Amino acid sequence: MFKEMVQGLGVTFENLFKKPFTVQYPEEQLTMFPRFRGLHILTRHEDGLERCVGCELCAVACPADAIFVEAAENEPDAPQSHGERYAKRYEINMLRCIFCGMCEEACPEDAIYLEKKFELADYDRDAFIYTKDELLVGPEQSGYLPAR
Amino acid sequence: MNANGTKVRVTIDGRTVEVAPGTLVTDAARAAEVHVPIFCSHAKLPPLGACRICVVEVGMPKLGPDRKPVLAADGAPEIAWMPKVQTGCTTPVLDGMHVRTATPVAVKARQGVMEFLLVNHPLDCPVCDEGGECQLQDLAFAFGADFTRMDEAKRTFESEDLGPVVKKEANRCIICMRCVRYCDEIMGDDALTAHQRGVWTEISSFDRQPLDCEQCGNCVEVCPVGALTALPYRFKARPWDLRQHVTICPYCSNGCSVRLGVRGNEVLRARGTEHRGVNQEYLCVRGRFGYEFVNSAERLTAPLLRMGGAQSPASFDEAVTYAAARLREIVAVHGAGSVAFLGGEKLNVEEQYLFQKLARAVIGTPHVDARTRSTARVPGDAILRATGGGRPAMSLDDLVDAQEVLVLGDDLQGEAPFAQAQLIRGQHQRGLHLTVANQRRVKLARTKFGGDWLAYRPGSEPALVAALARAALELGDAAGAAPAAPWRAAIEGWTVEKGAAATGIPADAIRAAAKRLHAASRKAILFGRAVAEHPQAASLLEAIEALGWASGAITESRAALMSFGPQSDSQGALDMGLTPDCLPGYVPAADAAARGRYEQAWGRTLDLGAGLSAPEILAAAAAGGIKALWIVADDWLASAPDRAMAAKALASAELVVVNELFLTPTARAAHVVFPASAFAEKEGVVVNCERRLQRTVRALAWRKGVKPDWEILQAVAQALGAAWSYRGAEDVFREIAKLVPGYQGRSWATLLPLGPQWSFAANAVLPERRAAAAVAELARAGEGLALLSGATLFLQGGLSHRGTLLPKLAKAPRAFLHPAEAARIGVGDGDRVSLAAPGGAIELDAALDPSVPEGSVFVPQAQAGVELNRLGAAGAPPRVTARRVGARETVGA
Ligand code: SF4
Ligand code: SF4
Ligand code: SF4
Ligand code: SF4
Ligand code: SF4
Ligand code: FES
Repeated sequence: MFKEMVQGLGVTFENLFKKPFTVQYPEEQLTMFPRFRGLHILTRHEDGLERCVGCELCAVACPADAIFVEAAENEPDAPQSHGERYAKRYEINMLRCIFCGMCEEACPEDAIYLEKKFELADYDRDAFIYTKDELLVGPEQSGYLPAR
Repeated sequence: MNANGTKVRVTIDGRTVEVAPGTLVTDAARAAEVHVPIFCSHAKLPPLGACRICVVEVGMPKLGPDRKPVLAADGAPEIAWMPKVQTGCTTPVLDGMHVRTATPVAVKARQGVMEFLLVNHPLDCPVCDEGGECQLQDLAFAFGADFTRMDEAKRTFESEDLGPVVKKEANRCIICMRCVRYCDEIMGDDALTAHQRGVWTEISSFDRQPLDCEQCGNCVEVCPVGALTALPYRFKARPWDLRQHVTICPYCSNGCSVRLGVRGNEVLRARGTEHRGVNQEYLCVRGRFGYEFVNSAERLTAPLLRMGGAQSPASFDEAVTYAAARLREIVAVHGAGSVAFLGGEKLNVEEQYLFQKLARAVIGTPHVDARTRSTARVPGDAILRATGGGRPAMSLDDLVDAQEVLVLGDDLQGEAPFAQAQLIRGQHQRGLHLTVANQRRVKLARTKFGGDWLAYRPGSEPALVAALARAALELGDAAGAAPAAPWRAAIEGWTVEKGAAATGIPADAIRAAAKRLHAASRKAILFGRAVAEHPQAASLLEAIEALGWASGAITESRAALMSFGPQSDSQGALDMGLTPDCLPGYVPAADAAARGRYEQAWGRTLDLGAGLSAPEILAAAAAGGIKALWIVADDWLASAPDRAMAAKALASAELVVVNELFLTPTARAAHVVFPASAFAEKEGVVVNCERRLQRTVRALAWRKGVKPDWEILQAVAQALGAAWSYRGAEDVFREIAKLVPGYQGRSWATLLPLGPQWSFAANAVLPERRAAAAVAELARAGEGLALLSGATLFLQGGLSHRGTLLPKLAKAPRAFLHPAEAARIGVGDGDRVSLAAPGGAIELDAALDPSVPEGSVFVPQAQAGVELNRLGAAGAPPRVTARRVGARETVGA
């Protein structure tokens, strides 16, 4: 019986002096693994135009039916994307999304990626519908594609 | 099956099927449920063999020296396979033929074809509107390789907008020639062509001008890839976004099936249905692009009530209570005969049935008429009699195979576009001959269709029909035309020569036309509004019946005449008794014994007295005799023959109830307006020109505040104390199927997708009737120009104005004059002209058009802003004086 007690305390002491696994979130942040799947981004070409052409393949691939795309035709002198078509509306319902990454896999244009952001809590249900403005990266990130 | 019913046996991938001789291998494969891909072949077009994707291995049993099949060791016949693969879409089957589709040879050949098709095909599926329903995409997925050996740059073309409907992206074209052939052989427009040759072949319009064509979009429909796409639907949605519902087009009596694509609660497109419906892939421009009104923001969304001054929105219950209370008061004070029910040709048959039941069984008035455009009283069964009295009717498919077709009076391009397409196909592919009797050289009368054009004097249709019937009788009586038959009375006193003099057509031409019709074993006589709304319609329709018997188009067992009603469900309105003298199923209202079935079912006597027809109701209401009017789905101010009179009637009536989608001028004059559902928002049955019963389905959720007409009618009937308790259109149809002759025993469930054509049992066809009087001779022409009017392609009825595309295609309304006539009255192209008649005048821009005969002016009806009924009640033929009132420059755009 005594032997077992010592054994148990041994484990306790061993862990007492190990480096902790937990981090002091939110003061301390973890770096995510490269293939972690968090909030989506919509990317841009090097020239700043959107990569997304509004083809809706992500929407049809999504098992949770979380994506809504409405396409429109580019103005020839002020295009939003390469080609004739762009996404006029692009919305993801983050309450439905299961972060499976199928949209990313389906996209023929490398336009949608699941990035590292995971702090998605909010007070309002409507806030979970991420619109194109919220998803599209800024022009300073033109040409950026996450490593995979 | 061929004439003697023999069939041939083919074995495809081990499955043996029996098909008619001459069937193509691809079709036999479909029968055997073996998938053979196709691109260029099309059921309505002759085989071409352009794309080679349908290659299969074909073989016949080997024959020994004794001409007997050589048997292999296992007893099965040995097959001599052809050394090379064959295109299935051009190879007719032979008895005993064997086909293999999945052997390495066939698969490799198909992969090779696929690779060639993709050599120049761009990889732009993500931006292509066809993506998701593209046959090339599907087959590339199924048969193609997932890499390309093509290193060179692909050839490219500029994309073009070919007019407001067709977008062309020639890079995607696989040169299957379906579009060019369809436009040529079925639309009769020859609007598309292939420029250049070989790899540089490019489909476009001639001279690359915007397409000057019917804008039907069928080229887009048949294009198997995204080379032609529809501009109105451009980038609107993907097929997987759309809920697709097959329902019936509301724009003419042909009753085409349309596949509505709905996203959210909005109709985004309409397409043909490929293997369903009378039309299959075909739709005309109205069916394909006319759905816009359904989504319109101008739709009424709440009932309107006028109590005192202006109309104000009210709740549905308030409106029902008010309408019922006022109706009750009016009936109490003035009697039930002071209430009249008008319109209803656009409703489903269930609603039509309830409309007349409300009138007859609840209110107790005999004044019911849907035919608000008529200028004269026409018996409710006149059209049915003229088309064979309820004998089995011909179908639109029969038209293609007819040898001789007489088109009487109407421009089918506007009245019945699909019927026109069937005739053009028959003319191109099967040697159909057309005789087009029309005052104008309408599309079908053009020389390129090789027909005969009988250009009769305006208004002389009765003389023409009587003369044709006489000429047919000269050729000897057709079978079944008994010498004492009562229909002879309709053409009494007429001779071919008298008809020739009255119509201005040489007697020889009339005799020749009658001879062609008489001689043909498969024939058809088609007519529409020009006959049904003719001032002498009653006797004219009897003369048509006479022509039918005399030429053999009507026999004891069937009838080959077809009437195109003015609206999608005009036939239903006649069938359901929206006429003053007929109860549903053409039961004479005055026949106490016959109407017993309804008295019993509706629980009241129907001894209501003689009903007034629409023009009589118009006159009575204007004179103050009719106190309450209920008008459904009809802008009466636009449809009544005399607008001033209709305005007076509306103003003097104590109660006007209107069911409408939009606040039309008529609805504005009403005391109660009920917002009604559009065709895509309700279920029901409609009856087309073939007398075919077809179910419509609900593609959209009901809009807030809007109800289908049957519910509105039921609510008011209940408020008036009737014990109606229909839960839906199906319940009403069940009652119809119990009571109405011709509809008896029909089951709602079997009317999808393509219901049966109704006809009476052989012993129940309408008895022949002695004509009241022979058709009268035409009054001598008066002063001025004859006013011709008629339907045109791009607009039909008030709903088509509510979108953007159709009015744009129709252009501004104009008065069309022959150049010589225009010169005579000093009018140039684009000048403003005034058309004056004793009743009033209208002003329009003039357009010169040599297809309009001299001495007349053509003004299309159904255009917004053209109010022909301002000219007052029409005489026969209506005449106007045209005068130039402004030069081209002064005319606003
Ligand atoms: S990650 Fe998965 S669930 Fe989320 S939007 Fe993409 S496909 Fe849909
Ligand atoms: S994100 Fe990609 S898959 Fe989705 S619509 Fe845009 S281009 Fe298409
Ligand atoms: S829209 Fe119709 S008529 Fe015009 S080119 Fe196409 S098929 Fe021909
Ligand atoms: S445009 Fe379409 S239908 Fe016409 S030839 Fe090309 S692929 Fe065929
Ligand atoms: S032919 Fe008639 S029924 Fe067919 S699509 Fe055109 S308008 Fe509709
Ligand atoms: S489908 Fe047979 S050759 Fe095109």
